[in-house]
Amino acid sequence: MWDRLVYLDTTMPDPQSPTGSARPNRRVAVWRVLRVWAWVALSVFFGSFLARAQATSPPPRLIELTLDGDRVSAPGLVRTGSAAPTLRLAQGEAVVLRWWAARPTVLHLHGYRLAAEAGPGKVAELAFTARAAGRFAVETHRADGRHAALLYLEVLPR
Amino acid sequence: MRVAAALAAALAAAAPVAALGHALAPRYDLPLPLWHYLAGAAASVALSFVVVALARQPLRALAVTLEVAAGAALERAVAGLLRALGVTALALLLAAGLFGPIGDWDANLLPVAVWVLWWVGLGFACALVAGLWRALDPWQALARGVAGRSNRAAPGTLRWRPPLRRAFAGGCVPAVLLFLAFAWTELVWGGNAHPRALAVLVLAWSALAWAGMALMGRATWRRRCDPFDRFFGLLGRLAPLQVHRRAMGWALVVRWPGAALVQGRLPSRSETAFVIVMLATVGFDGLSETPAWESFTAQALAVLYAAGVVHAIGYAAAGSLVKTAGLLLAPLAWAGIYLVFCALAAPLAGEPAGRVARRFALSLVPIALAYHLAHYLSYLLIQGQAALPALSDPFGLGWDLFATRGREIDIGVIEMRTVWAVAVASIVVGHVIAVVVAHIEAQRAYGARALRSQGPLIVLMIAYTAFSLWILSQPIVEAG
Repeated sequence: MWDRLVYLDTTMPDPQSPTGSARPNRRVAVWRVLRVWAWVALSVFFGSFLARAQATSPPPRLIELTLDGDRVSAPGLVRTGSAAPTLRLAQGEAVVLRWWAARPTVLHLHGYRLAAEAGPGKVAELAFTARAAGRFAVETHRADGRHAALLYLEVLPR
Repeated sequence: MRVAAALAAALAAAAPVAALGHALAPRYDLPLPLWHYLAGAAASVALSFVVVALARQPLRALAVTLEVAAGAALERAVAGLLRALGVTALALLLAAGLFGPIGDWDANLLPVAVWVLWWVGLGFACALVAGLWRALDPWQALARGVAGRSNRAAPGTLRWRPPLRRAFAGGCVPAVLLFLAFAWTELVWGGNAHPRALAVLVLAWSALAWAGMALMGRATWRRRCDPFDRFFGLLGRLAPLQVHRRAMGWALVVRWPGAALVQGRLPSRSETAFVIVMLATVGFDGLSETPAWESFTAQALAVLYAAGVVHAIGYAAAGSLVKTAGLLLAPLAWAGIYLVFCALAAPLAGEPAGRVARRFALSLVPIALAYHLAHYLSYLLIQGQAALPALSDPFGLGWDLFATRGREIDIGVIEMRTVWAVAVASIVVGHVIAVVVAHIEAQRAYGARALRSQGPLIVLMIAYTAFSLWILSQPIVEAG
């Protein structure tokens, strides 16, 4: 195909062609090149949309946590020897942490700077995409103003 | 009057803001993965043997001195500029602390500047580039200015001669105690992120430093009592660059990192104690964030509760009590372990254990610093960002001096994998520097017996490096 294009692109008239000039042929070749590139551009353009849609399409993972006093329980929590358990997430993952608490509790997720209030009749939700890896504390504020870690989130790098 | 009232109110209100030592970080590092941990430990052991194998030839600490000719006027100008920078920073920080906004740990410039930029950031700059603190030290600079003025003032009048110039001759016991007190404010004191309380502490330190300089003279204060000059000076010995001031211009020394840790003079007992306290507090800082320490604290609190102490002083104070005890016991434990290994090395070296301990204390500094770098790199890069908005509006007046007002901290500024790689690399490099420094010192002091004398010390260094790696592999938990 490239041979033919090169041949057709020469400005010298084609000695084999019966009559007239090479102009119509050259126009056809240019159109062919343009058409190929147009397809490439179009498919990249729409493909990126498709890829983005697919990347965001899975709904955020819902994790339900129960707070009993300062004790957090949820499926999949890891105990690392500390009083506060650890929840592991993958970097880039979208999650919703839904909190059920027996008494009114203010929750802070450090780093991602999220806060929510849980309590009887009030379900708190911390929704975020774990874009940065690291270890993050979910804390509550005690009556004496001090912070106490309830849970650690470990966002593992991909 | 208003200032005095504000200070009193500040001290009363100091408790509720949580400590900034490492607590309340936006992001902690993830525990070091197992294979990083193993690779670091294996590399340290293997490279120790490589150094021992190479050490059959005498090792030398290489340093190249470049004379830089500069006019006396330029030299005075640069030195004056650095001093002015230090004094301006002190004045700005004090003003921000006394009159600036109060809120979360990142609301005010003073706590961020003191704990993140100065204590950690300047420490890294001193260890990795050149010892800068002595050129910046605002307390020395202001005392120098006052002394210079009074000496010039009137030739006939009585000149002040510090009466205690020979205090603490040959040692630095006050520096050791003041360093421990400073470590307490960093690691235990609950009010250390409160701008007003911290500003009062800085003012108290200024009064103490200037009183000491007036009584002992600036040089004696610096040598015997000033923990910061000693700390940043020790870190500066690791640095690859050093600037000496000469009569005409400067001499720039380019050397292997750690070359200045090999020294002709044997450190005194109290100088050795300072190094041990420094190593122990760095280690305790990391240890106090591990789950192991958390469960130990819980048990200690249960004992204190049973004894009625918690009832009398409350949980917060009882928690501080446990941590204070840990901070005071850490140097003793460290000294005990170190002396045991020195006693093992003593017969091989043909020298009393005490002299062995004094001889090799400095060679352990690179391991501590490497751990410090691994532990605090992301802290510096993440919490340090809080200085940008605070610097734009230091007094909470709505200014926007550097167009950084309201900027939020980017918690993804350094990738976890980068942190892990830097952590393991710095720990292995620090270990190798330590082993080499100890070897050069041993060859200098013991000659043919050098190699044998190093056995116990290399075991100690490997254990110390493994301890650093172990702390990094532990999930960080917030104390109390």
